[in-house]
Order: sequence, then C-alpha cells, then structure tokens
Amino acid sequence: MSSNAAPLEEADTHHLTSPEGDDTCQFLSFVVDGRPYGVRIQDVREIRQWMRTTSLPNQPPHNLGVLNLRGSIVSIQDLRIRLGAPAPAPDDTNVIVIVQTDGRRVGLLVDAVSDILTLQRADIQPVPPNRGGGDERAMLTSIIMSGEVMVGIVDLDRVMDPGLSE
Amino acid sequence: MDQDEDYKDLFFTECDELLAELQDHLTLMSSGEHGRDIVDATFRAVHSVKGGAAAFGLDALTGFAHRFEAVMDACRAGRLDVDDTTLPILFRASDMMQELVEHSRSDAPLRDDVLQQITRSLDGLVGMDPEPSAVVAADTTGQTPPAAGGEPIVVTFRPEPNFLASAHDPLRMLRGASRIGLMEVRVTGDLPPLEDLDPMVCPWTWHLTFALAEPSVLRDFFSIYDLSARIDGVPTADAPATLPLRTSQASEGPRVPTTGGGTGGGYVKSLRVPLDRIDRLVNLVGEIVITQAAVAQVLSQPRHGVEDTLAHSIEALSRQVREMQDSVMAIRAQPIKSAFSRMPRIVRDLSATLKREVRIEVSGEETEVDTSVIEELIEPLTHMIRNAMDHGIEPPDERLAAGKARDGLLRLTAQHRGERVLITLEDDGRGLNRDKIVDVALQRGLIPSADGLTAEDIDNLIFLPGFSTASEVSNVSGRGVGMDVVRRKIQALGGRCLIHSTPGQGTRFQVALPLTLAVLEGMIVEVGQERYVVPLSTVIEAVQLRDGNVERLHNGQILVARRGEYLPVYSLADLFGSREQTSARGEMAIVVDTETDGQIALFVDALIGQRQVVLKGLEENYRAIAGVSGATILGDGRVALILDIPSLIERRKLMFKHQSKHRQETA
Repeated sequence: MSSNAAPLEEADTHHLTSPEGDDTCQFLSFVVDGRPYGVRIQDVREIRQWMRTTSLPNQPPHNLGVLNLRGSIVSIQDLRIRLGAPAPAPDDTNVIVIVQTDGRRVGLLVDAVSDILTLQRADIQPVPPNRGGGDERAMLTSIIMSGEVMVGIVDLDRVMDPGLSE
Repeated sequence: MDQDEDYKDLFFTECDELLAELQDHLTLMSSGEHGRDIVDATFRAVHSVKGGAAAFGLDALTGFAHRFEAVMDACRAGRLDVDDTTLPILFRASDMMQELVEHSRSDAPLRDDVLQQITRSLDGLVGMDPEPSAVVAADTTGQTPPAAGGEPIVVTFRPEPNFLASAHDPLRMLRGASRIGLMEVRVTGDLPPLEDLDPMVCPWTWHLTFALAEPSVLRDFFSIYDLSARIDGVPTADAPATLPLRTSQASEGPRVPTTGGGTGGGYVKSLRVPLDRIDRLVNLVGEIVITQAAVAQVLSQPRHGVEDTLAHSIEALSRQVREMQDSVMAIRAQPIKSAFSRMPRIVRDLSATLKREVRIEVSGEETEVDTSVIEELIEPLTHMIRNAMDHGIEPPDERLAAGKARDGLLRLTAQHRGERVLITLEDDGRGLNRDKIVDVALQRGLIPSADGLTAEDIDNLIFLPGFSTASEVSNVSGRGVGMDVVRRKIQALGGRCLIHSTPGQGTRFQVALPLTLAVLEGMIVEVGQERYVVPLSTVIEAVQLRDGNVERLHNGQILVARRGEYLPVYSLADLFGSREQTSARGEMAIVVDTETDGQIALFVDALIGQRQVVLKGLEENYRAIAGVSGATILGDGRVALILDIPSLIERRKLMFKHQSKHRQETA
C-alpha cells in the first residue's frame, strides 16, 4: 500500500514554491469529473492511492471516514461531492491528496492527479459571481488559466471546515 | 541569566508541593489532630520554603517564612497551643506565603497591607515585637537578611574532588552566600602546574565570613554541599530548633505524597521527570504495542514454517511490552489526594461565606489516577462542592427545624471501578427542588414543557447550559457558570456525571472518569466489514441470539431475553445513522452497561478479542464526534473507532423524540 504513496518532503515543497522568483506560484492540479482543479503546492503533504476508510457515525455524505496516516488519524473528504460532481463509490483508480492548513491534515478524494502548474501571480483571477450562487463557487478561492484550460483553485478553509455542526 | 534561573524554577515547583503539604497539615490540625508529627511536618514545610527562599535571595518571602516558622516552632515546643485562635492565623499565613511565592515567581500583585497585618498577627502569637520594616523591604535586593544574628561566623569551605562532578559551582555558592549575610571572602590554595592540573578538581579553599547570619540559615545553606565539600565553622545545631539534614528531602526533589494517612511523616524518595519526556515514552510504547499487534496478526494466519518458539517469543514480547506499558503509565499515576486535599479548605472558607455549618469527610484519597486527570479534576470538583453547599445543604436553623443535625455533611469519596475511577460527592441537604428546576427550565426556554419528564430527567436539567436556580445571584455559585460547565469538563475527560437526589435527604453526584487518557482496555468486535473497540469495562457478556430468546415488537424494537430479563437490542447501523458496512447478521450481541440507561445489547458479528489499545483523538485533524470517544490503529494499519455507547444511545433517543414529536405535529 505504501508503494503508491509519494510523500513530498517539506524541503521539496519549499524549493517548489518559488523557483523563479516571488511572482510565480505553483499548483498541484487534479481531475474531478473531467474538469481540472488545483491546490497550492505548499499545502500538499502527500498523494496516495485510495484505500478503504473507516466510516464515522452521523456524518455528512462528503465525509468518507478516517485513515491511518503513519500513526495519525486523518479524515477523508470526498471533494467530488463538495464540488457538486457525481460521486460513484471510490475504487483503486481514485487518488487521495493529503493537504495541511493550520496544522490540520485532511485527505481529499479526487479522480486523478495531473500536473504541477507554475504560473505568474497575474494569471490568478477571482471567481466570477455565479447566478445560482451554488456550492461549487463557494468551494473555490480563485481560478487560473493554464494555457487554454481553466483551473479552479479549491478553498481549503472551506473544505477543512467540517460543516454541519451537530 | 544563567542556570540559577533553572534552579529557581525548581525551587518554585518545590514550593508548590510544600505549600500543598502545609495546607494538608493545617487542615488535619483543624480537624483536631495535634500530634507532634503533624506539627513537626508543618514546621518542616515552612522551614523548607524559607531555606530555599533565602538561597535565592527572596527576602520578602524569607522574612515572612521566618516569622511563620517562629510561630510553628513555638507550637512545636508547646509554648503555643494550636487552637481556634491560632489556626485561622496559620491558614491565612499559609495563603500569604502562597501569595508571596507567586509574587516572587511571576510578579503577581502582592497585598502589602494584608501582608503586614498577617505578619503582625504572627508576631503577636509569639510575643515578638512587630518589625514591619523588615518585611516590607520586599523587592530590594538587599544584602541584609531579616534574620537576627550575633557574632560574625567564619566558615571554611573546602571542596572535595567530586565537587564539580556533583554539578556544584563555586560561583553559585558564593552568590548564594552573599544573600545570607556573607561579608568577606578569603581564598587559599595553589593551582598545580599545568601538566598536573585536573580540571575537574577544585584546588582552592574559601574562608567565608558571615555577619548577622542565622545559624539555621547557614546550616540549611551548607547542607547542600555536605557530600561534596568539607565545611567547618558552621554553628552546630542548638537544641530543639534543629532539623535532621535535609539532603533527602526538599533539596533533592519532590516527594510523592505517601499513600494512606496524611500524617506528613515518611518521606518517599522520588524522581522529578519532565512531563514531556514521559509523554514521549508513552507514545513510543504505544508504537511498540501497535508493532507487536502487527506481528501477532501475521502469525495468527496459518502458514508453514512458523515455529513454536517464535510464537513463544512473541508471547513473551507481548507480556514484556504490556508490563513496560503498565510501568510507564504508573509513572504518571498519582494519588487523587492532591486534588482532594484542597477541598476541606474550600468547605471551610465557604462555610463562613454562605453561613452554613458543614463538615466534609474524605475517603479513598489513595486512589491513583493519571496526573492529567487530577489536574483537570480540581475545577469541576470545586464547583460541585460549591453547588452542594449553596443549594443543597440548608442553613443551620432550617436543618434543626427539619430534624437534622445542625452541621451538614459532605462526603467525598474516590474508588476504582474497573478501568475507571468513581468520584462521589454526597450531601445530606434538602435535595433538588424539582418543581423549581422545572419552573426555571420553562422560564428560560430550556424545555418546551414538563410533560413526560421523569424525576431523573428533571434532575438532569441542571446540567443544561444557562441553568442556575439561585434566584439571587450569590457570589459563590450563581455566577452564570453552572453544572453544565462541570459536565462539559467531565465529558471532555471521557467521563460522565450522574446525579441522584432524594428530596429532604440529600443529593449524590457521581463522576466516573477513565484512569488515564492514553490507553484503554478494549474488546474488539466485528460488525459487518468493520471492527470496533468497546471499552472492556462496560462489556458485561456476549449472548447468542436464537428464535427462543429474541422478541421483535411491532414498532420495530427488538428485545433479547437474558436470564428472565428483557434488554433492548440496538444495531450499530441504526445508532450510526446507517451505512451498510455496519449492519450485523443479527446472530450475536454483546451486553453493555451504559450507566445512564442500564444494560443494553448491541448486535455484533464476532468477538475478536480483548486488547489494550492506544487512544488517538479525532480532534487533532478533524473534530470530536458524538458517540465515538476516539480511535485506535489495529495491527493491519486500519483505524478502528472506540465506541461510546451511552452517548450513541443518548443521541438515538434524542432523534427518536424529535421524530415522534414531528410526527405528532404533522398529524
């Protein structure tokens, strides 16, 4: 199981944050239901293959339960549900991106990891207001243009928020 | 500045212990024990604080402790009776000493007027002339000790070869000496030629002249160096004011409070270990437990070539690991006494404020609990006592009118019950006023109506946030913090609160807490595809379900007969709000004692076995979840949840109530 895990050492992420000066940012992009999304690379701790989780009682559907990540217990969120995409039962082809903000770790279930994008800060745009004001917009902080492709940057603070307080 | 600061920290830690001890002894005295050993122990505690304070040049503290000590000395010599006039002063002096320690440690505010007043009271007891000036010389780093003295004393200080190796430092010695009246220093001795020089041996001899130094202060000061230097010239002990050498006492570390009686005798040698190191060890042992479980799992699978011997050694390994774990946990275990011993004092103070006459009986103080639990316990315990005295125990007149003894009785006990410690606080007061509780709860909108509430339900209303029955806000327990705070705190520790009240006869609060917050003795069960841990202490037995002993009611409820008694059977899928992995086949159930709802049965598919599991919180990366007290990692690396069945059932009941109410409303 660990053969599929690809931990990014912290030194590496530091190196990746600004290899070409302060005006660039790097993102890890991944695919959810055919559409590219991304997170800031310095928030990514590890990428691993889907494995069966232990489900928790009385949780919203996007909580897939918890995993043992080298001795600490990390909850897994189904990013597909959070972004409003269809979410069939996860299998071996799915990938978990472990992210960390504010010292807390959470795993995000996505369809596949695609690339590391290096962009100028100027390429980062705000999310245009949405007619419906739907959930998808609320889960993004910004959008970026990578070549011809638009990538939505996931708002980790919103994703980490367990939501549905008891 | 330098490591003096470290020593100072150590001294303050020691002060905390000494002051707690002092408080204990005073409480014992106030309950009528005037034994010589207790008075002696009290004297020793004050004296040790004084000795340390003098070494660090804390003049205000030294001066005050000196006066306190003089009074205790008089008590010891029989010149002063320990009675109702002396005791209140001694109690106040002990508080003042605490305040002075805090002041020296963190510059906490110091009430100078109170200090002087208490100093005068102390001096008055032994007929000394009040000398407030010496006491008020608080923060001046003056050289003159407040102690009275006589002729200059010359002390010869000749370090032994092990002086430096014993971590002593001549500079620190001199610095300390300068604070207790050192006037003049002369050094003799020659440095050997470089090729013969042993850097670890100190070749010099110091001749120290002290003026105005009190012999006992000098003795205390130099007693530290007893084993690593030859010291001549310190005045020998004069008659009763002497002390045995303190080397094994205060100067070397704290002592674990002795189990059993609080006579203050019998010092136990102990080791001071920083808590973080112990925690690291605890974590490490946790890892070993996990690894060992992994090995055991591999071996449990039938396979060729697994030798018997290997199985044996694994067996031994598990035993050793288990022992190691136990002993590591034991380092952290402490008698609950350190929390309980504060309570008589609180009762005493509150009796005066609330105009109640209350006696407290404490038992089971030797019950050992994890340090972290003890620390967290003091606050809720204090609040429970306040509550009992404010709302439970009646004023003396009312008690007499009700045909009770004039003074109320509080009984505080601790005992081990399985993997938990059970703390009980009973009073013989008026009991809970249920009508009033209902009124208040309705008035504050805490409950929609009182219909269908049992007496027990009503009693439990006092644990709701925002509940306080004191119609006038008293300055004791009606300050907006109520029993809800107590319950929250206890629940945060993984415990639960029970309340039992009989009108006119009293109220009993019970708090059940885990002994430790780090490991748990668990029964591992399999339900569907998942494995769960149920705390072993709550599991009563397992029952096979057959057509003969299972009843299915029309409302869907399932009952199981067990020795002529019917228990409700719950399914985990139901308690968890579904998920197909958690549905059991329904052939077997375990009987669990919920404490609040009696015994219930829970469907399981298999019992895997009992095991000690290392608790991991879900809060670290996620948040706490009702019904799950934590999680652990099994041998195969998967996470297993630790079920908190009482709270799962509580939740289920709430949801059920909500649904049936909803159904009534829509009908």
